[in-house]
Amino acid sequence: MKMSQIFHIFRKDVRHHWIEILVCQAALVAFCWNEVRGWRERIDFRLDILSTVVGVLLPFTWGFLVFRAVHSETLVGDRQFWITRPYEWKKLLAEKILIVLVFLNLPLLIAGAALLIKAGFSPWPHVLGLLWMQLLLIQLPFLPLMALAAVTRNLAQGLLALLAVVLYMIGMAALDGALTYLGFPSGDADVLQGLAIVIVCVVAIGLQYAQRQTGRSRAWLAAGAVAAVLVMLGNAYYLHGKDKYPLPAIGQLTSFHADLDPVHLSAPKEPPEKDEDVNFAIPLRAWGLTPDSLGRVRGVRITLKTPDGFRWDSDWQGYYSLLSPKENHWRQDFSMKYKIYERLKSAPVKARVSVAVEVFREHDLEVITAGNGEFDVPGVGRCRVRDKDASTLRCHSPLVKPPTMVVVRVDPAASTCTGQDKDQQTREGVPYAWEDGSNSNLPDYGISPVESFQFYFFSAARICPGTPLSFSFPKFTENTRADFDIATLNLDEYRTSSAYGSFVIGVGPRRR
Amino acid sequence: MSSAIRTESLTKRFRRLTALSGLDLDVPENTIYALVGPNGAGKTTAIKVLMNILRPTGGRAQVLGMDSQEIAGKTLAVIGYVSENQELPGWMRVGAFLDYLRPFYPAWDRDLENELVKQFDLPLDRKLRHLSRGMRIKAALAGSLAYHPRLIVLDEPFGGLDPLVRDELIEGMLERAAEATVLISSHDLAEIESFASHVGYLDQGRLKFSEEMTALAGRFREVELTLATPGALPEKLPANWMQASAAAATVQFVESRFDQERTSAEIRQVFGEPSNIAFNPMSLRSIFLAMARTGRGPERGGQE
Repeated sequence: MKMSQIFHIFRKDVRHHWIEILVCQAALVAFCWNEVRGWRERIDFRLDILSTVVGVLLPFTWGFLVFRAVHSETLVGDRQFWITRPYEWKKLLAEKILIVLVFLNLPLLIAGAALLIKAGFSPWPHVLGLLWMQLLLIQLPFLPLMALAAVTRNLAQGLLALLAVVLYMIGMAALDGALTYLGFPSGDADVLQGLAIVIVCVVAIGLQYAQRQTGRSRAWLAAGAVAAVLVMLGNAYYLHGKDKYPLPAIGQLTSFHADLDPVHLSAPKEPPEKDEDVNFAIPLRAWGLTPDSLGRVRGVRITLKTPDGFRWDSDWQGYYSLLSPKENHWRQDFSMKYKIYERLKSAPVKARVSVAVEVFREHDLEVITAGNGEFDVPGVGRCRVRDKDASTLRCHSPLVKPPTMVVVRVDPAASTCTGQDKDQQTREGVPYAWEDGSNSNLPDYGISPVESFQFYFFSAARICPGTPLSFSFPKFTENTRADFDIATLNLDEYRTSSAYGSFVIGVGPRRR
Repeated sequence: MSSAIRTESLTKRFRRLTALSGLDLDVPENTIYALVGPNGAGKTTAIKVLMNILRPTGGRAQVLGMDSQEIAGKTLAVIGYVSENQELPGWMRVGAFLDYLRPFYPAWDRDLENELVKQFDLPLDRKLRHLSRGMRIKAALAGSLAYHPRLIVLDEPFGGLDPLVRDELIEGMLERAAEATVLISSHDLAEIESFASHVGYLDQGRLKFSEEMTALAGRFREVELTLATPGALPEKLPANWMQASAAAATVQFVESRFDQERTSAEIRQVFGEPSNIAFNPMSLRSIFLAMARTGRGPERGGQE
């Protein structure tokens, strides 16, 4: 064959599937348009529906193209004309991969670069990151889509298989939820599961193209699905009984301590509903942090024990809070079944509270003046003040969020806001907002390489053009945990009417 | 004569169903071999195994000197395959279909392609899905002959075609048969008879016999006797007499080992001296009908 077989088949497929290809590119353009639109301001409800449609449409068009392209030379069955023609399976497979690379990955790569440019970043320093994102997209969903297409005969069969996969994923999520409910920790087995997906899909695709052994290939995929369940169960079993946040080793000095905050809480007068969970909140206080330290609460756990030996464990509850030496009070919410509450409420119980934190030390302070519109923030990306409330800083980072935590402070005295804006700044101290670091330099799964996040000042901080913003990039120093006992805890005193996330108000020590 | 196709104890099972049961087939090179048999006999399965579309459960098959399981990719450039239920890319126009196939075959003959298009009267600008069944088969055949294949495999190509199209197909194929081996499966025995040089009879996955057409036609005769006095058929008749029946003084049977001298002697031995004996040549269709009704193959001359 004078012209390479790969390009010969490729040309045929492009001619045959130009509509699918066009639809894919149109969906990608719509996605990018919506993405850029979302950066500007908070998306309203009407546009939110549009975001959902665009978000669903894009992967659907990918599946449409992959299924149609693979089914052009369908591997299932024994009546296809091409199986008695001099097709070389490796070249046929290479051609299908080329379709994915040229019409899915390449446009996504270009779209990624365009989004970076639109967000004010040059794509050139981020080429490797953009390629990495494409590699992740190949792993999921392009490779599984190809595997499904390879073991199905036509689009209808392919969509049925896809539906089965969606149901399977819902089942997996339900199993994960059930494991958590049963007290098994929800472990992070993404790498193992990701590896299983790649291996299973590659083997199924290889088997189909090399030998057209549909039964075996389908069995492989089914075995992969079972393996993923087993990995989840095995991981849960492995982690069961292991403390998610272990206590510091004996002799290890730690700067973080916690105990019960002796504030008086007013419990609701109405008795709790019998058919609902009962909520209660434990006021907590942290101490021991050095003046330049911050504590990021990762989880709080409470164990209650009655004199007759009955024990209730809340398990670790995640918490969104940043503690500083002066802003060190917070309330942790818990909920329990009404029956358990009934058993625990009547008598004083012993309690053990565990608080797991990450301790950071303030680092790399930098003062940036808020600009009119977007302005550069070294180490973060490009930020702009949200026009509507002047208390939110919206930022974009190329590929990944900053790997370390970022804390922003606004000195009300230095605010350039005038009139009503200025008047709203009534709180004492320096308002601050913060964002967790990504802990990685590698971008995560996604289509857009522009990471969007915002610093929301819970206090009435006002930022206007010219307002100096103090950025800090605290460095992680240690993971630690503080446990303490409460000899007698009357549960009813801590009951709340409803569960709510209580946040530490973002007001820290005034800095000069 | 060397073999273009040779199978040894070829077996194919689909779960509990045995489609091929120890098939030993030998198709000599440069012959037109007709694989015949009733529906469900295993003809299509045998061809699919030979073309490596299906994998055998047991035994082995060699096609053009290669193990059938190695037939893939480039090796298919010397084999032409057309099947009645082959799925062609319906969205392609006939011209584009031929254009598409051309680069796959190093030996593609553009002049021959044009000849075939003309001979089959193929509408190059029509989509394959819009063609009649006959036209689709012709397009497939044109795309399977234009590269001078060494082996042409045709699986029930004439099913449901009108006689004109059938003739055109046969003519087109025969013109290229001189340089190739043709394996054709069919139950259209009348058509096969006109051009096949060899024939194999497959029934329930077993090859009942396989031999040259002339030899087959030579050893089957429809025999009609007129006896001097009417009488019943004797209980024991020679094993090579099939479908024997008697009506008054007339006895009829099919002789599957015809040799005028020997057959006449056997007749005299069973019935005495008949007043008249007629040995009538049989069509392929009559031979197979006789065999199918008797439920057996001939005792001599073929592979049991």
